[in-house]
Order: sequence, then structure tokens, then C-alpha cells
Amino acid sequence: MLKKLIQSSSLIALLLMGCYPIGPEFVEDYDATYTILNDVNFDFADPTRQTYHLADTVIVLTDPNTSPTDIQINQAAILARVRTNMNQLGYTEIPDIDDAIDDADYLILVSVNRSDNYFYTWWPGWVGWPGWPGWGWGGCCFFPPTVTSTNIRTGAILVDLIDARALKLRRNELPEVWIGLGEGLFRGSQQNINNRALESIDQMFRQSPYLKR
Amino acid sequence: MRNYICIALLLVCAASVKAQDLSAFRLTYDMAIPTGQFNSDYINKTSWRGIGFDSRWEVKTNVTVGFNLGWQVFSQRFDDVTEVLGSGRTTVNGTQFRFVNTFPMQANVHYYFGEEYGVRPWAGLALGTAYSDQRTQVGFSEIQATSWSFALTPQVGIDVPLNSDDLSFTVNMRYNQFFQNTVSFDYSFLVFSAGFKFLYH
Repeated sequence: MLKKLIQSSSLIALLLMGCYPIGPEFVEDYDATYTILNDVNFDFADPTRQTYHLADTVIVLTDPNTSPTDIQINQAAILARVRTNMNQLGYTEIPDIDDAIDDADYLILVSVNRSDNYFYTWWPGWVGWPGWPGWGWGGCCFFPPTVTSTNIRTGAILVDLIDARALKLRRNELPEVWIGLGEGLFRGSQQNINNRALESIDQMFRQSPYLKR
Repeated sequence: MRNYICIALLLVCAASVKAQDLSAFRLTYDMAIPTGQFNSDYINKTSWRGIGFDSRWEVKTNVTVGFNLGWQVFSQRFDDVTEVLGSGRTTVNGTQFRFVNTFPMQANVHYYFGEEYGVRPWAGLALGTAYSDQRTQVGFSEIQATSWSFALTPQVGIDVPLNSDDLSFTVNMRYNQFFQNTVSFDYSFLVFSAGFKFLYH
């Protein structure tokens, strides 16, 4: 009976390889785009909101103590893609900052981040079986302690839509009404990373139809 | 949960165990097809990862009571999915990896047809609970929902004796309905099992 049980159990163990048999295979499989309505009371349908100002610099959010801040991403292309999407939605850009202070309905800030996330695993070592004669330091079976580290390098692009009218009121909180966030693995060629960032910007606007004029 | 275990134990204790061809345990390989809203709203891919253990004792002629345990793994990849989360403030797009692991634990009763030690078709019903773990992975995020749910499983099967006196080949089909309250749909799926029946001696 026991023999049958063992045979059957072995067969079943082979059949089941785990609870989560599938997962990401390619770098792009980790890419995700989020959009967040930060102010639930904000009226995106307000027809008087027609203009925007796009800040001319992409802010690098990376902490210089943890990761290189030279992200080498095509900032001009990123700003151009945000501009294209806003224009396609029916908004008019006010490029001059002085004019924008008075007339822009939205201020758009774009930022990027690279994050190096280190994970450490530690194997304490093994010097033999307790009580087993003849084993120990210098014996047959010493496995030294080992530390291994893994770096999961991620990147993110953040597009903030700020209510420029509320900004003039100078309240304590930044009137951020919509956030677009693209994130993924910071891996692949420079062109691949840039293309994925641009695709993520397009997706942010695609999945936010309420922004359309 | 405690009630289900008590019911199962009472059924087993009440059984006057006879050394006949019905008091036995079964080990089966299970494949499952999602049905209903589980199929249309979450996973529609057939699961090829499942295992079942079932123990039964004959309490009167052609009738057994017992319990069964199982594990079924559903998984499916969906590309370029856009989903609005929770209160509607957040929308996420990406490749989704969806998983459901279910673990039914049920008491069961069965009626058998045919002759003793011959080919035995049977039909029955299992009632109990199921623990389920549902996960949706997008990018580096994961949404998880776990639940204990009432589990109802009508089933039919057939046992075919092999050369040995105490070993049979067994196949069965059962319909699992796990009533959920933590997700918006029940887990319902059709299971096809094949395995072996070992007699208790």
C-alpha cells in the first residue's frame, strides 16, 4: 500500500510544477501604464478649459545616492510626444511662460526616474550534520556562506496635469488633477527604452478619453 | 469551516466500514474548463494542472460517504489589457497574468451501480468549502483576492477494475460551483478526472 502511495505521489508531483505556471517572458511584459484621477471633483468636461503650457524641461527624480542620474533618455522626443497628444485632444499650447501664467488652463510637468533595487540573499553556510563523526571544518563537506545580490533596474515616466487656474490661488497643495505614469524595466537598447517610453505616453492619453475637448 | 470539518468527521465515524469494493481512496489527475462568468470575465483557458484525493467508506449497500481534497491551478496571459480599478480613479494598462488556485475540501456521498468487483458507474454530490487565491499581475503590481467559499459539486464517474483485486482505473466528471463573496463572479468549472482507486483492506 505504502509503495503505491509513493508511486502515485511522485506522479502527481511531476504533474504539478507550481501555483503560478506562467509569467513575464520579455522586458516589455513588465511595462504598465497607470492613469490616476487625483481630484475626483475636478470637471474635465469644462468647455472653457482649452489651453496648456508644457514645461520645457524633463525633471529627473532619481536619487543620486542610489542610481546614476544620467538617464540618457530622449527628453526632446518625450516632450514632443506629450505635446502631440495634447494637441490631438484639442488643446492649444501656450509656449511662452509669461503668457501662460495668465492664460493657461493646465500646466504639464514631465519627469522621469530610474531606480536600482538591490535584493540580497544570504546562505549561512554548512559544516556538516550535527553529531555526525568526522565532519566539520576542513572535513569533506564544508559549504561556505554566500551572499548574492540582484539588481532590478526600473524606469518610470510621469506626466502631471496641474490645474493652472488653481495654481494661481497659491494653496498649500499642488492642484494636480491627473497623473499619467508609465513604468517598466530599465533594460534594453537606448532606442528600445525610448520607444517604450513614447508608447507609454500615447497609452496614458488613449486610456483617458475624458481629456478630449 | 469548523462546521464542515465536523460534518465530514461525523460522516466518516458513522460509517460501518466494510471490506468491500467501495471503501477506497482515489488519486486523480484533474483538468478543468472554466464556465459561466469565471470563463467570460476572468479566465477562459483550460487548466491542465489539477490533483484530487478522495476517500470513501461504504455505509450501506451501494452507498458511500467520504471526503475529498483537491487543487486546481488556472492561469492565462492577456496582452494589452486596460482595466479600471476599484473606485474608478485609477486605470491600468499592460500585460496581465491571471491566476486562480482553488483548494476544495468537501464531504461527499455517492451511489454505485453495477456488480461488486465489476465495472461500477457511480453518481454523487460533494458539499463543503473551498479556499481560493486569485491574483492579477500587471507590471510590478499585483491584485490579490483570497476567499473561503461554499462549494457544491455534483459528479458522475466510473470505476474499472484492473488485474489486481484492489486496484481500479477511475474516471469522473464533476461540476464545481464555488460561491464567492470577495470577487464579482463565482468560480465555476467542469472537471474531468482520471486516476486510480485503491481499496482499503
